[in-house]
Amino acid sequence: MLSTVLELVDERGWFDTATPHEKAIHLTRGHCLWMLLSRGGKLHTHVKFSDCLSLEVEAARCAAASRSYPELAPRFVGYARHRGIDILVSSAVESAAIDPMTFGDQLPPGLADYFSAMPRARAAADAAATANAALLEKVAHYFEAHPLAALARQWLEPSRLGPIADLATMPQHGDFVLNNLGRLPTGRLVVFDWEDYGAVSLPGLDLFTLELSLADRRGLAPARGRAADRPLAREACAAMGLPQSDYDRLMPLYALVFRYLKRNYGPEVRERMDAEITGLAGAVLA
Amino acid sequence: MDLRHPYSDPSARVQLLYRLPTAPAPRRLLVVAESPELRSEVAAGWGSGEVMACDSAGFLRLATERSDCFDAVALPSTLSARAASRGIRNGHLLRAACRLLTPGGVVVGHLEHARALRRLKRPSAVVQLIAAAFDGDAICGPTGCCRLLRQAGLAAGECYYVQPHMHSPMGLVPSEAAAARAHFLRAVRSARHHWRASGHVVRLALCWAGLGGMLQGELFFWARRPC
Repeated sequence: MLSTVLELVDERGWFDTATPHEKAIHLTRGHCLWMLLSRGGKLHTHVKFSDCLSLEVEAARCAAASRSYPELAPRFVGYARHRGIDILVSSAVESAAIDPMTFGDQLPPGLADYFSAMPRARAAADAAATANAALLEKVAHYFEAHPLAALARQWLEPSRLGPIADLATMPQHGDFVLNNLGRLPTGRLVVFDWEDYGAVSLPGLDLFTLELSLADRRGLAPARGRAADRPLAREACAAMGLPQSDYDRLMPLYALVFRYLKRNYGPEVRERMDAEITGLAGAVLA
Repeated sequence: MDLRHPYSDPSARVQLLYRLPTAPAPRRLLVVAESPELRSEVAAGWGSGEVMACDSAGFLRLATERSDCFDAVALPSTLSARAASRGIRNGHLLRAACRLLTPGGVVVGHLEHARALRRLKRPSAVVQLIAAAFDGDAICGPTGCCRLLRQAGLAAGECYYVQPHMHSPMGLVPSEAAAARAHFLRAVRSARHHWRASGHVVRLALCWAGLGGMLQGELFFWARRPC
């Protein structure tokens, strides 16, 4: 499998495998592997590959993210399918994890840019049809036969949720959590893992997941109450042009959409998220 | 098998590692292991192609009778960090693999890492490591592994640290000094919240000194018989 991947990467001119290099190979619990190609320890190219599932949609999403956020997303290099193996290549970047304790209440510079660019961002073609109203239907349908059905019905009650058809559509990263953010040696912010980019265009979802992961990593309870009382949420809403009142009322939907996006993840992740959502009941309905 | 998560099972990931180095068609595999469970585990993940399995004594006998008849030879836990384990030398096993492989065929396997800190907690392991340093047949680390592969007539040898362990592998870390150092530093820094401050500092210091490989208990290798 590895020779096929390396030959293709070399043939397409994405990485010269004839020059000395090193490989770090990472397995996942899903359906793919990824490999970091480096020279003298310096990261160069990120190769994701699978012999089980197509990476074509993911490649289109990564390419769209790379176009919409050239300063924040790793550069998309290419996609190919050869001898039953799907290969998705992007540039590899050296970055450090972000310490949640140093995050502060204000949006750091790169994040402010992310939220302010969001209204102009464009998703890949496959995501164009996912309008907010259609998303609501899909989510409601998904939770019909789910252990969280009763909670979902309560949260999605139209009188509680309010109208969503007239909300702006802004492609969301879909897994905008602290683990997917990093800081380059230059101090610039980088955002990884764009495989769900544009699958959802519900404005505010990324802010919700960011707030959730920040609270989790700081060992705090999930944010509750009005966005107006939280400087980070207030600033991000202003950057996106999303009314704070909309962000507040959509919190139950954000929680369910986040879980819906993880529906194809492994049982461990799904069960952990179900427990988290149950724990959120107090916060999102506050 | 869960089609969306074929690698959620640790055993499936072990099998995947053994399929990583591409074997030429028709992909006839010989699995050599002392443990019947290991032989079955690796053989089960091979997919299309013939599979044969035996222990190392049977393997050495086979190599005296036949040659050029397998496209891949798997050695799960067959080579030893110690010199002359069970009276069988690592060099003999690798030369036998080279003889049985077709040109371009691949030998692939894993073994215990003799310099792993966890292992060196045992005084007997320290004594074995010292003895191994004076024995050209012992495999103390990735460099020794690649040297033995070359000496056996195999080419394009590569050796990696297994992360975190072969019971449930999640990655292969390159053993080249600069790449290994950079990788382990990245890994320890990004997992800062997993350990207490003291544990984090110790791991960071080891990685800074280029000794991050000592945190890993197993090595994974492959090489090819030259065409």
